[in-house]
Amino acid sequence: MSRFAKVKTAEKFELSTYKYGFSMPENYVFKAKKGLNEQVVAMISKMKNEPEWMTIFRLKAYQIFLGKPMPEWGADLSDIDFNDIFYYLKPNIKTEKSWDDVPSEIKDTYDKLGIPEAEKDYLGGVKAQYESEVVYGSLQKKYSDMGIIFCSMDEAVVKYPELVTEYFGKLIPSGDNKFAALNSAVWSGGSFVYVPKGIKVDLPLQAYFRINSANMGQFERTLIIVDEDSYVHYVEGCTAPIYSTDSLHAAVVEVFVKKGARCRYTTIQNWSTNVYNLVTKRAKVEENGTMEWVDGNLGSKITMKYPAVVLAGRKAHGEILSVAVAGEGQHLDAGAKCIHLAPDTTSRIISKSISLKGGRSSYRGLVSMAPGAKGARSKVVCDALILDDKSRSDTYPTNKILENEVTLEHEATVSKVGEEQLFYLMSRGFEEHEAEAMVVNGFIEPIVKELPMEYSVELNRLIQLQMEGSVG
Amino acid sequence: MIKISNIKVSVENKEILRGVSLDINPGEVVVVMGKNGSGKSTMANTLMAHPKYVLEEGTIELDGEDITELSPDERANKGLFLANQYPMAVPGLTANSFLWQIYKKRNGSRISIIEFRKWIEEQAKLLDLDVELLKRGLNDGLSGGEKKKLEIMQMLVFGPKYIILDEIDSGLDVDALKKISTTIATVAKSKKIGVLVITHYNRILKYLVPDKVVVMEDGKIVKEGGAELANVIEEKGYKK
Amino acid sequence: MIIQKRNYKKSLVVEKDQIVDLETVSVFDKPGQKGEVEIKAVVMENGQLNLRGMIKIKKKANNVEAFLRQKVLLVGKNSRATAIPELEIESNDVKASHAASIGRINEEEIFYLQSRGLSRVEAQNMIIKAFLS
Repeated sequence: MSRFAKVKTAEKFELSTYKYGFSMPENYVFKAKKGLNEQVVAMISKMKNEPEWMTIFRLKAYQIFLGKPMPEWGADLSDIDFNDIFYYLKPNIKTEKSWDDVPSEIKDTYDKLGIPEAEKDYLGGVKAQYESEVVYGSLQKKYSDMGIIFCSMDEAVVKYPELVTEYFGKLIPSGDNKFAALNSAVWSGGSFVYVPKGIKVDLPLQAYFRINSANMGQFERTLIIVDEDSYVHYVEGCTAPIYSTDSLHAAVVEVFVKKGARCRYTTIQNWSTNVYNLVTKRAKVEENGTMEWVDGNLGSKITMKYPAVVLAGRKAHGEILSVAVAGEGQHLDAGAKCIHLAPDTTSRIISKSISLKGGRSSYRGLVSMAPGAKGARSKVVCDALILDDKSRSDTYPTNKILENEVTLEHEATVSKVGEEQLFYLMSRGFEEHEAEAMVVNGFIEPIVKELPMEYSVELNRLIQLQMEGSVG
Repeated sequence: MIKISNIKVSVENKEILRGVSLDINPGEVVVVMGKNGSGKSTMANTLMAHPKYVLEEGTIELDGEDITELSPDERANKGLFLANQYPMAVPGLTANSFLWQIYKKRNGSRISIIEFRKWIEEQAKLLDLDVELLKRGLNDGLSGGEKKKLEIMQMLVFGPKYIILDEIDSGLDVDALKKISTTIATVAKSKKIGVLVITHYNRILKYLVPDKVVVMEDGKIVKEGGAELANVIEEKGYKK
Repeated sequence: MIIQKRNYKKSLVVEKDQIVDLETVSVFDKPGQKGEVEIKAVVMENGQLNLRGMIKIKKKANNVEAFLRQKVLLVGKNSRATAIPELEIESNDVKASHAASIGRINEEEIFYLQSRGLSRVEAQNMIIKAFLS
């Protein structure tokens, strides 16, 4: 059953026997309910009509999930109750929510950002469908004419099994970490992108056009393959706050960049502040390839996300540009990982973080250079701005160098908006909060200028909104 | 008129200005000279309400209105412009963007950004300031002279009623000094702007002819005179 | 070995086949404190250096200036180093920064000194000495 079909609250199922020895009783009526067990995992697979290998993959991953402990580092995940979550078949959104149920601060932000009514309904989670089909339809034709595959991960598993089996789970195996295991068991949605050799995709692929249900990517699984000498820019997320009733988001993104190819993956997330956003993202780059992760983290209660680049081929290049704004009640633990396995590989990490109103922003990074990675070079710059005395910033970088013919440079600074800077700007007629916003926008400018224009404008305004009321 | 009445100012609990009074009339050029530490810069920054400088006593009036309690932006909105001695860098905020924002704040959007940019380019040429530098972060990586020129560009965009020049001449070569001074003099004269010039040397006064010269020492004004006083100081130094 | 100091400067050589662990922790908990930690190390053949440096600035510790610098020169074959400079900052009225660099001797510098008559070994030693001073 494709994820575009209408959702039913109850469904009858036939008897099935699974390799793991349990079986479903006849005429079992499946009700939408919370919690996770093997039957739920098996059900997810069955409802998607998945080939057996995927069902087995999921079930194995579930066992791994059960066996893995929670991480002892990073943010505080002790409040996550795995049994208090719908893993599939959520109740129909229409019967549950109306525009009135959307929190007022979310509604206010939509107004201030000038977002039109139709989008407001969609983003507020009120409407289950979005009329993206028309836009999506015409884009689809353009892509398929170029030989590009861009569809949901669910479709790809059924339609392109050879491609999927070659790459799925190969870069981020189920055993990688507890949340990768969870995602591997219950994933749903996400994108599959394949760009054939020598194709440069000029328009960014927008995940937005592909989503058309209120299931806002709780356990998305994305797989991108950029074949030799090709280029693609994939964009997902939204600066406007997304109100999500799901409190746990555990996504997995795997990207394969072949020889001479280039991929840029831009994410902006602004989940509502009840969300735990735990993401495993990794790219493998072959000879002369380039991978760029551009990451904007604004929302969520807790985010743990460390985009990684494995530089496997000679002269492979990786870049991670990230900006994080941690406000009241937020802990954003984000960073980057660059693993140099081959000679002459280069990497660059620029992280800009802001903490305000008691928020906590942490950079957690790793640069490692394996023996044999001669001539490898890496530069890391992490700057943090703490806007008031209630907020906190941490930097936890690890630099592990096992090859001596390399260069690594790492710098980090933590500061506040200077009094002199504020005075200077105010002396030109700008009020204190305007002046502070100008300094903050200037601070994140190196990252923001890499974002598609609509995002950068919205991002600047959003940050300004967050800061209003923080001065005084 | 700017009317400074018997102001006493301290910095970090140390008294710097011990009772200074001074008037600056529209169209007038008033020059303040004095040794390092005499309180000249303190006066400039106090006029603009720099948070580090605490006004213990006295008042400041601008065009009849008491501005003693007003914040820097409120004073700017009344037409007061300070050309800083050490302009701050704001990385990531391009000079171009900042100039446009100042223009919009002071004038609304009377002209399009394209016309504005053209005008900026002309002014930059007159000041001999490389337009490419305006694409950089504000004062980020600029030389002392380039920063001073950028202060003057901001002044031109701002359109002040009163200008305070805090040692605008320090660190400028002969050509730059001439360009900046003549620009200020021309604008001040045509728009009847009151100018307060804080300086050590009288080089700048060749172009900005003073109507009044005062000398400060130990936080007080100790001498007052006309333009000739500046020449006397130049020849004989600050000794009485 | 954990050094708990706000101000600390150390130059060291990790000799052939040696393993050295050095950890510094600098805690700033009162207003106005200032500190600088600088570690400079040269790692010879097969040597291994594990450097860890933490700067902690507590709440209310205003007007603090804290710096941490870890500079490592990997000279010998198979020399390796791990550098972990960490910051935990809970006060916003601070100036805190750290820098870590790991690399090898610049071949240009060696060439320059050799062109002035020094042997490769002499040139290397001179550069190492200058680096550590």
